[in-house]
Amino acid sequence: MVNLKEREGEKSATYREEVTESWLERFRMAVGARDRDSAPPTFLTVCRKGEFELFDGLGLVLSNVLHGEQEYVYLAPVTAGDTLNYESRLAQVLEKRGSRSSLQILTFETEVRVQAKGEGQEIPCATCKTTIIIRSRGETTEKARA
Amino acid sequence: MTSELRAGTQVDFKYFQPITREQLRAYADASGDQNPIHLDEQAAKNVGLPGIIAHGMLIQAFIGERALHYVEEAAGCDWRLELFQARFKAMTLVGDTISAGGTVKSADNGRIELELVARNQRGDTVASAQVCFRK
Repeated sequence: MVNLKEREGEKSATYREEVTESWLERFRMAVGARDRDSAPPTFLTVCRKGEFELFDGLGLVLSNVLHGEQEYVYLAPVTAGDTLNYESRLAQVLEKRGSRSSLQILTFETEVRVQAKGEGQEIPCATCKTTIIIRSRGETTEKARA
Repeated sequence: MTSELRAGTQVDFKYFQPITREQLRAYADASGDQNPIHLDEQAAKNVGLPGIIAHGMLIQAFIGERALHYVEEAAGCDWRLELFQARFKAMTLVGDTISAGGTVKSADNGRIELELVARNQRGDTVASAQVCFRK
């Protein structure tokens, strides 16, 4: 199995999302959210390309991992017309070993910045913390770097 | 702040739309999480799941909507979300119906903190969350 602990601190590339009114509307419809000026609270979940890039590099198979926890700290609202820029980092790897199986708990942190439409300046938008649990028989793909 | 909003006040449970394959497809498209365990029955079974399961993030979205609506009704519209932390405890399957509610943990010093859960129609808690607002 890949030694994930060695990979703590690894960072993803920077990604960008353009927040359109039609995207917000599709998201609201999908989650049963009322129409408001700001994006629904979990809309920031769209900022996961950095995490997915890191998963891939770690050899994690999405269908073999469990989403344990998700935390958002909000610094500025997101509205239609904004651009979100973000990157992710593998912040922590915890290993819990039992006699016959082991559990790995990975924490990814994503820093999101927002740029309002028409303005040049980016400001901090949110910090997202994703906790993933790798099930004890979690296989890794051959793509994982040793 | 209205007088009813204080530590211990109940946030009554409200139901969300039943989980369907179509909704999970719509959520996958809107969120970008196209993990096949949320979309394809065989893919879910191949990894030992009983069938298609809902995204944990969809359940967190329900809790978030309940929190926002509750605070809007009980305390008005000039509160902004500061923190939203959720723990996913059990699976949600196609056909389940989720409700979200809980209690006000504290409401003072320009801050409201809610402790909410999402439950399925059998009364099982599928997720728990802490939601904090600031004026």
